[in-house]
Amino acid sequence: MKKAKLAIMIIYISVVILINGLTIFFLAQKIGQGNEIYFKQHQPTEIKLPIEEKDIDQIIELLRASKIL
Amino acid sequence: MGHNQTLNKIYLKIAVFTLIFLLITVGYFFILNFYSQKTLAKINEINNLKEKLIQNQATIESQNKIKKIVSLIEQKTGKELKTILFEANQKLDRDFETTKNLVNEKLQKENWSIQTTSFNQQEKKLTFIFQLPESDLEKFSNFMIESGLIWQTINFKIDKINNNLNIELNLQTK
Repeated sequence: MKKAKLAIMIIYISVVILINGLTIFFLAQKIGQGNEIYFKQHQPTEIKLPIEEKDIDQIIELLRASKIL
Repeated sequence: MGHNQTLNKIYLKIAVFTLIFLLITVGYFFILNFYSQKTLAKINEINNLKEKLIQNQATIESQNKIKKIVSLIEQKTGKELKTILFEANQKLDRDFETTKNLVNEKLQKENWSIQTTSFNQQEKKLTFIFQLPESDLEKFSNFMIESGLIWQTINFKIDKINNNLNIELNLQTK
């Protein structure tokens, strides 16, 4: 009877250890996934404008030459 | 008989305990998976918000740049942008026929040899291919600027052939 109890205890402890191991593995996997999603690099979006500040003088000059201004 | 009954009771206890234990384990993994999926979905949501934030920042930056450019133009010209655009629109609001006649007249007046012309009245596009002496380049560029045709130009090609310049001029009209 004592041997049977011991065997059951060993099986119980083994299963608990297995479940703990699986939990740690599962959590580590999910943390890895979450980490990857959270720190995913975003490409900075750059909106290109039709004119730049440095072109203003040239455009104004051209507008003046075209007698628009 | 009494011994067998005790054994049966023990087996029953073990079976019930195992069943409960299995149910708890399955439930435990189910809850673990459920909450981890929920957490991952939230993280994903945060990530999407971060992306939106970056996009909004870029939009705000470009809007600020536009405002700065507009105020610089207004400052340098002493006119409001609306007024400039209105005046420019009035001057450059040249229709298909007027543009065609303007270029043709200039080509004939300056005696620049016309190679090909093609007009697409539906799309309001005009193409002129002509040759002019190299010395007339300044005259041509002045004509383009003063007439405002430069603002109607969609494409422009220039090739040097001996002492002449072969010009392909593609214009868009209203």
